[in-house]
Amino acid sequence: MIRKGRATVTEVTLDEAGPIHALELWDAAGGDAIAAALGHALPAAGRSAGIEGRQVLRQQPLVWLLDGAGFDPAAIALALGPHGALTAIGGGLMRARLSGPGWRAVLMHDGVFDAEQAAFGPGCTAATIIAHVAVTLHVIAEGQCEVLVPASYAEPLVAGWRRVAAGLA
Amino acid sequence: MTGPAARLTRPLVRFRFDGRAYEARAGDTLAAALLANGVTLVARSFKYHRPRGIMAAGVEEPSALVTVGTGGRREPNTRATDVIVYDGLEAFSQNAWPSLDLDLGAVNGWLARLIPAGFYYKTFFGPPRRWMIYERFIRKAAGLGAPPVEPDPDGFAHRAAFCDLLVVGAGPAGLAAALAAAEAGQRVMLVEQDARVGGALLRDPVTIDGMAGVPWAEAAAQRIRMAGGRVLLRATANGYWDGNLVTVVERLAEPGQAPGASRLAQRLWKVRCGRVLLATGAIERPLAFAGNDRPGVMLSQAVRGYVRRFGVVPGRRAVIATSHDDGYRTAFALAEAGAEVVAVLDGRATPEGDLVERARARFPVFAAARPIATRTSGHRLAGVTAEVAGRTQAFAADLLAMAGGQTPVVHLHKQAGGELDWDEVTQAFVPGPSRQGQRSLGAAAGRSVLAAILAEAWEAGGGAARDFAVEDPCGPAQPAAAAVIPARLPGKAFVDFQNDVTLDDIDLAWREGYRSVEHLKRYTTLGMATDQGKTSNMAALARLAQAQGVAIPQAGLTTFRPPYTPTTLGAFAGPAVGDHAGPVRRLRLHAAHEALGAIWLPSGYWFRPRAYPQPGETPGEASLREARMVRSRVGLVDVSTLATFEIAGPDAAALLERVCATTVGRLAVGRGRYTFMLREDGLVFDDGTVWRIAEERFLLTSSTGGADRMAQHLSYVRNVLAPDLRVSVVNLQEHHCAAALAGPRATAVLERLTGDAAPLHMHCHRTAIAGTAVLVLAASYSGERAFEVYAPGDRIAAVWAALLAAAQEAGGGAYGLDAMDHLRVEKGHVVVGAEVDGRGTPADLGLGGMVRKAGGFVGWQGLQRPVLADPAGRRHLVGVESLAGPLPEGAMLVGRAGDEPQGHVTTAAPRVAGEGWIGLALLRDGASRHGETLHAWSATRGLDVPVRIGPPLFYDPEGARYRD
Repeated sequence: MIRKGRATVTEVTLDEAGPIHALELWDAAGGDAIAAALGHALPAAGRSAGIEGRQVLRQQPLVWLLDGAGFDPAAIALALGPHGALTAIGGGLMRARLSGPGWRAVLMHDGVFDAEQAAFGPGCTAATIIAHVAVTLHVIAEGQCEVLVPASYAEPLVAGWRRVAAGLA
Repeated sequence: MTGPAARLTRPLVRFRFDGRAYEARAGDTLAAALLANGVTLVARSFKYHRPRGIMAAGVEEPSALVTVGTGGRREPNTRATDVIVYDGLEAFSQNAWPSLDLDLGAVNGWLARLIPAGFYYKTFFGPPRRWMIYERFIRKAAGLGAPPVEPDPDGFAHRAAFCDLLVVGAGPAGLAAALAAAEAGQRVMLVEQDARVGGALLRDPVTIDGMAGVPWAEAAAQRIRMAGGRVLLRATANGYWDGNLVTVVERLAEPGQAPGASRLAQRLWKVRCGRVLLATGAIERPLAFAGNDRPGVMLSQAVRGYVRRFGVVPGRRAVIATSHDDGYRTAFALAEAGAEVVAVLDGRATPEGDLVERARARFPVFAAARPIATRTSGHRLAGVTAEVAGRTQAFAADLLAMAGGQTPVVHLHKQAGGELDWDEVTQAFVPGPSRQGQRSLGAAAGRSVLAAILAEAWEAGGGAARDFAVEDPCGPAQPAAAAVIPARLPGKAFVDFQNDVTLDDIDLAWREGYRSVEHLKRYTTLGMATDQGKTSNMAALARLAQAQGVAIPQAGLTTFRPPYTPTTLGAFAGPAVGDHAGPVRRLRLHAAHEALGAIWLPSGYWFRPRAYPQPGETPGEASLREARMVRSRVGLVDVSTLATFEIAGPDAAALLERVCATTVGRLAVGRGRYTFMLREDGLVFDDGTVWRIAEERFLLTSSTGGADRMAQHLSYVRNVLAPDLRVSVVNLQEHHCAAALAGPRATAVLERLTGDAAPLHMHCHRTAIAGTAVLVLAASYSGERAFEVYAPGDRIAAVWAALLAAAQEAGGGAYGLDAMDHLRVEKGHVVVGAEVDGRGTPADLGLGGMVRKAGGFVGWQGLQRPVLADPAGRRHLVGVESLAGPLPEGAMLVGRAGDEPQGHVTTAAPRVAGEGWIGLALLRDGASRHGETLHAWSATRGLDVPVRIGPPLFYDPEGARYRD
């Protein structure tokens, strides 16, 4: 935890990502079917939808991430039918959580995405590159952002963020 | 504004120069501090070792280059004008021996006639062996300061930033523009290379809207911050790239200074901007006359800056040499500070105006006057000889302030692709049409009247049109007419002070036929020093234009390249140094391998276990023991780094048939097959296996090293070549981790753990190990019965532990990459990066029989080209057997040492089953040369080993060991 005076600037934690599935759709009917199964529409580009433990993140034009243990993959696959494919990917991801007012500045280091733009707020997602590593950002709250990181890169990447966060203090 | 009296109110700072202790005042540059201490001799020049002092006050300083700091923080060739003094600063002069005061290198000055411009090209020629001699002297003479030997102990960061408007330069124009934009709600970033905002306001006592210039500047910066703008000081915009990307180097610590808590010395900002306003100011031009490089000869505005900003008076008896009104401002500043202005030499025939008249009332002003020579006493300026209306006149003086015109700083404008226009009045290039989102303001745009500059900048920032009330005790500034360079000058009149290029050198180059400015530059080294000709290029162009009989714009212009000012390599490297020079990828099982005593091998970005040596074992002994363990009992190896892709959907088979050169689409569920992939030119670029794990779902594995390339290839095929297919391709290299169990006891180990019958060779099934669902693929790389066990990465540890314990119980254990390599060489299995080097066809690698005859895959058309279809003369995969000791990997295959190579050894290994050394090789027409004896020759290692060529298979040719 990095503190400036008495305030936490940025705290960075790292955990297993847990169950995550990649959902790819090949047609609009698939979107309707999944929306019906989820109980809400699939989020638009750069956005997430859902509740805690059942978050849907749009990652590519036709790919969404189903993030959380609250999903029933079998039921989703059944609803999906011939309209797309569902593939488990969570075993390869770690979840970094950056908390505190400095998280935006931390993610600007070694990256190319504008994490400081005001519009990038809670419910926003971005697939980008930081320090040569493909990551997915998900703003959870104004002061918190989750980053899905390939497991093999996670430790040095998070160590770098902690180093940067220390420099902000 | 400080002045000499206010200077004393600033805190004391202590520093050392050439080992001697001095005191400075907080906020001083090193140059200001040295001048305040009466130190005028600061450096020796590059070529002639002439004594040099401080000429400028900013980054354009060509002469006062020093080394700052010690150990890993030592920074050579640092401009004394661009270092803010801090407590404990240590600076050293450079290019002088045995001392700065008495430098034996100054003998070069006496030998000047022997080393004119281009002497390098006239002297160092002849046969290459002479260069072995020349090189020693050239290297010794090259450069000024010495680079540090120790690693830099500090950190460097890279950071992105985005803004609607980037303003470069926090002088009055930049501040007005940034303030207008920030208060209009734009995302604004303002960067200033100095430690203070204000620019010219720091040296000229103007008021803006009733407020003194410096407080106005500081208040403006504060308002910008309050409006959400970002203001960076000690931040130099050093490059303007495509797409309105500007790089900015921010100094967080001064050269040689230990950084603060962040431990960062510098931060490189990559700023992507909507618009860029360039308020980069202008650089004053020196005058050309004999001895214009003496300590005590300075730029006029720099003198004013030292007096008014730092409270330092660089001389007590001053001569002002000017070509325009601005020089008079310096005369008044010096007089206010108590110096005596002994003469104002105005190059104009009839200078006039209010400021000139006021000066005439206070100082001796001479029209049609210019300096022609200087004299020194003890390396300090002692006198100036001038030509006044055609007659020679001498003045005793210890300071000469030159005002030879202004050169707008157009570097970033040009780097952005902008064009230049020519301003006849000021004889200067000014920014012309832009190519990107840049616009120049203020002095950088050739403007001189402050009120107009502020109004224009305010509007450029997005503010509504308004006027600024500016009061200037010297009256509105006038355009700065440039000094005329005389046709003939006696003595050494320097143009490029840093590379010791004189007007005579330019004239000589012209006489020797160098007509182009680009040739002139390279022949004389003009503008090629670390200052990139900031103070020299215009004078040289003027001289070249004189010789050509054309106007300056017709003489041409050299290229403005980034970086604008010298940039430390650390800023470019950022955090990518040492172990972090590239990303590091850690295995999920890293800790488990560590616990087994693994020694590590970099494999791409991965670190993989090379071997697990037992006490007293060398790595080679360990890997051979491990390989023999696999041949005789059972071994377990981590293959988690293999590229794996899940390909799902009704068209999954169709996609794979496009990607793979073998028949894979008709695989039954639960079956797998070896395959390989071609580039579009028909050459093999990777290999792997395909498994049908469900009716519409396949698993494709390929090499570790080619994983990213394969991902890119699959994306290309999926999205470009076959966008209509209903298929999903997901890269699971990170999701899947895998352990390969191999050896004659592997089946028993697996069956005991799972309770299921092991799958047949090239079959797969799902089962569970240690409570974790796993996918088992029966495939052999070692040549023994083997299984790859796949589990999600977050659950692989338990699976590995169970497999390892069972393997150990069966007399086996873990093995590393080296053992795996030994095993696969015996079986003649190719590996990407060695045998698969991007130059072989399937037939070259002995895989021609597997190619799908019907085609339809990437590379099929390329493969039909005669040059690939005809095997004659191509390099074929062969086996090589050493006839005398270890086989050197990478060695050339030759008839005898020194002959033209016919191929090379791609991999070498000790025999696992047996003794001696074997290897794989690519050999011209190798398929028809089995039985031949050649030499594996390595000239660099001095090795020459006779080898016998044979088929690339040394073990179990029937494949009985891995079949069921």
